[in-house]
Amino acid sequence: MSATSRTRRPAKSPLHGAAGWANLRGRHLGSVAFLTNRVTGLLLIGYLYLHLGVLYLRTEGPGSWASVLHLFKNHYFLALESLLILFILLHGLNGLRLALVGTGVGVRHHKTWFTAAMSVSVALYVVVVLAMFGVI
Amino acid sequence: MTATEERVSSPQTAGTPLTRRFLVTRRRPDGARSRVDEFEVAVGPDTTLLDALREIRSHHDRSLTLRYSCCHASCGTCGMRVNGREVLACVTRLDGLGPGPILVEPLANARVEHDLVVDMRDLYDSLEPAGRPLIRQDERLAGTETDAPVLPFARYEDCIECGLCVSACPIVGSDSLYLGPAALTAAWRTVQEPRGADPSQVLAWVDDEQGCWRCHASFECTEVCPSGGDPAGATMALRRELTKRKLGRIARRGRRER
Repeated sequence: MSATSRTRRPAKSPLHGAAGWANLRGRHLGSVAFLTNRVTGLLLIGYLYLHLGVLYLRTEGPGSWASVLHLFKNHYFLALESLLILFILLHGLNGLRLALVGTGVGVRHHKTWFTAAMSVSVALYVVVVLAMFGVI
Repeated sequence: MTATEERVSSPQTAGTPLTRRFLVTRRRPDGARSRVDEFEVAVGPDTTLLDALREIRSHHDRSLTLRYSCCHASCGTCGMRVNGREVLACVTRLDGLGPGPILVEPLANARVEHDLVVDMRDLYDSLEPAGRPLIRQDERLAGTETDAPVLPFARYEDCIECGLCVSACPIVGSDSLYLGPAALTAAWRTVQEPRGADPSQVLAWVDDEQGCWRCHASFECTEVCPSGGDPAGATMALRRELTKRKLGRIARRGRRER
């Protein structure tokens, strides 16, 4: 009963494999949760590299950094940054749900967990956006 | 037979027949590209998908290949995808599929033998290492009383090995080495009721990155199971059991070192 006794299905190309988990046709809420976590995770990784790139500009001198700070105060940039908060909330709270369900806690209520996680994420996101744009 | 051939059959049921359009995926075993054939079939209020496919085979295209046997969701041989969702054709009523054309495809994540028939050997082989403990509920002796402790496991006794769960799993779709929900369910069944098998050996088998930890909890396997089983729940139960045993080992080691 070792790993070598496993059956092997035909190997698929990475693109075909990605299409396998990204296809939501005929799928249910669990797949939406699964895809949400993957997409937000990939976006957060992308942001991490962008963040490192921006930090690198500090080595270019004060003038370069001042122009970056000016960009940060732009409303369009703030809107994009608010999306970052949304992705962190979605990924983090959905990840917490996965950690619980994945170790056998509340498995039968996984849809309720997901709905709750998404609702809290959106509620917190609205508060953050209002705070970012000085409404509250 | 062209890719868009359309014919209308005679009504098979009493009352006013309704015509439904079927888009059936066709694939020959010679490796040629798959194509979609179109058929129009007269259906009644109780027509099932299997009825319609048999009608197509009888009156439109004798070469359509499909597999079925019991016609009452017991044998698990007529699994296929309809409008992207895994179903047993014999118990899928057409009036439950909504309006519009009905796209019929073979199960995913398995080699297609011909048209709607896939190779099930991978599924059956994946159950072997778990001791293949799946016994159907209707194989119990008639008239015997059910032991109370057996009831929690009854759902796994009902596995008909149809492969819908494997087809619906997005991880099986992207990782050819993943054990898959059917095998993990069988493994959990053995852990729960070993019947002479060694549960720790089964747990060791599923305890790696291609085993129960590979599952990403999309729960599609549980959604499509025609027997009301819970393969995702079984997978999570395996994780819980492994976590419990590992934490127990750490605690015991800590006590010994003190």
